[in-house]
Amino acid sequence: MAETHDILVIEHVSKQFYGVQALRDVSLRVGRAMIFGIVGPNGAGKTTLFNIVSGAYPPTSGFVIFEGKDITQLPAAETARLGIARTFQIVHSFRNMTVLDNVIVGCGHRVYGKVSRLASEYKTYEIRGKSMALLQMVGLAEHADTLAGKLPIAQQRRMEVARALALDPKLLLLDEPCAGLTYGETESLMDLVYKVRETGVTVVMVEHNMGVIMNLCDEVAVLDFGVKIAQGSPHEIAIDPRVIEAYLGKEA
Amino acid sequence: MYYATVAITVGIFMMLTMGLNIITGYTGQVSLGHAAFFGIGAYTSALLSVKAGVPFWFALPLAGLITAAIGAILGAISTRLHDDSLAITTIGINFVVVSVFQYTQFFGGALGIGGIRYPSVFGHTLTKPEYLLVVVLCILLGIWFDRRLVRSWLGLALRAVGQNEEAAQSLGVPSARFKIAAFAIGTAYAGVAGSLYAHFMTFINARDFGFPTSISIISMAVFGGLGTLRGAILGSLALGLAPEVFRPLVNYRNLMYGALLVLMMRFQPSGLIGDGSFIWESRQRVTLRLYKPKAVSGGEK
Repeated sequence: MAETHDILVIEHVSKQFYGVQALRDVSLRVGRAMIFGIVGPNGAGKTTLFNIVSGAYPPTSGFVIFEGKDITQLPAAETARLGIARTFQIVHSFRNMTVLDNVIVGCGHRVYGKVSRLASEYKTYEIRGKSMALLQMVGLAEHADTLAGKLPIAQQRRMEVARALALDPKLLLLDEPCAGLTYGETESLMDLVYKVRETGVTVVMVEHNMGVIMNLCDEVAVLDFGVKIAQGSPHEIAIDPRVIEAYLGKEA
Repeated sequence: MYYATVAITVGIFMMLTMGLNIITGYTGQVSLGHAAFFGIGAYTSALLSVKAGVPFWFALPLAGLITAAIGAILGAISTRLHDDSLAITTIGINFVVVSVFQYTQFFGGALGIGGIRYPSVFGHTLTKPEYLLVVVLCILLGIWFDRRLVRSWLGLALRAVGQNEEAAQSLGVPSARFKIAAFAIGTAYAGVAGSLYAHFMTFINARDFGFPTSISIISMAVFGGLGTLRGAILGSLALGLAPEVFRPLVNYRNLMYGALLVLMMRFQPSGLIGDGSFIWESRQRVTLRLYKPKAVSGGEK
């Protein structure tokens, strides 16, 4: 069904919440090892799309195909084990666990389904090494033993990236990774996203910061009121009249 | 003898609080009906003893296992409920279980079950201090299991589900199965506590396992510090002993528990010695200050 070079194919996905049509017949293809951006005004359905891809809830109609496999109805824990990792728009840390333990939770994706291994100790030499390497990569190694809830938001966001990478994902979904970050923090997060892509991971990100989108993304899709109104390179998108209209309104 | 009785009672509540700490503290599933499982354990053990003649030493682990099985079934309900609706449902479960015991002839009806045999070894009936030793051994086993749990993948997943279920799922944790596991483990503690209670009292009545008992257990867990084993131990010790130490308080036990719950929620939501509580944070600051010079001279970093 799907061409092999597309890691993620979304076909005619619609989602209705009671009376609200959050997504209407959205179709997308994301190629391997690219950074794909999703933009749109508030309430356009970007996070809904992420939730459907990651399995938080199924769409009302349509299909989600990941690596040629239909994952439309799979719950979040299953899609995670297949290799889809995500971060959240509002940080979702395990507040009373150390930063290291937060990352280790992600390392356990192969263990949680196996009853025989659940009783074994989690903090082995190997697991600790892998998690510390990830924390090193996001620049949080010296905070490994701090309780996650005590870190500032910018650092918790980085921790979420490290935690998501602990799944050894093929696809990483970043939901507004730069929200609430200062200019410097945004810069270093962008570097991090580049580094992640270098390792062969495909990145799909929702972002409001147009600077980030223009600099980082290979391709961008624009949603407005649940409908995909445009798709193309960042530069094509920036001059597309439909996009300008969605953001700035129609010229009188 | 009096001291042994008090110690045994406190010990039984310690088992109950440790179990509730696994369900509510680690896994975040608020249960206001923990006494129901205390009752299920007690009735299981009593019936095994009175009707089937099973000796205490077999009835005790069986009560734990059977209660865990029932706990897992009722825990399965919790996977569809969250927060306040779960809390209210567990209260309901408590009342239903008590009613079943109270109005079913098989469970002795309003009279309860009497004539439960006190445990014996080779014909020697245990004295109270010897029974206390059995209780202490059960607690030690419970502590050992808890420590192993916290260091295991299972324990890590339970805490992840308790602190942020959505994030846990996004990291591959099938949260429903882990919640059921938490209920099974936590109610197993309650089942063992029930068995210890039944064979110590030799007479049980459904009223012993009502909603007020559930509130006592959660008060102990919250007072000590929900989510930590040390909190469960200290909370059950402090609130279990207080009415004995301050004798006039006995009649105001529920008033005291209720007032303490309100005060703790207002001023120390992490409990007396839980993570983030005033005492525990100060203790850590002091330890840091004591060890800091050493770390610097050692050139660590």
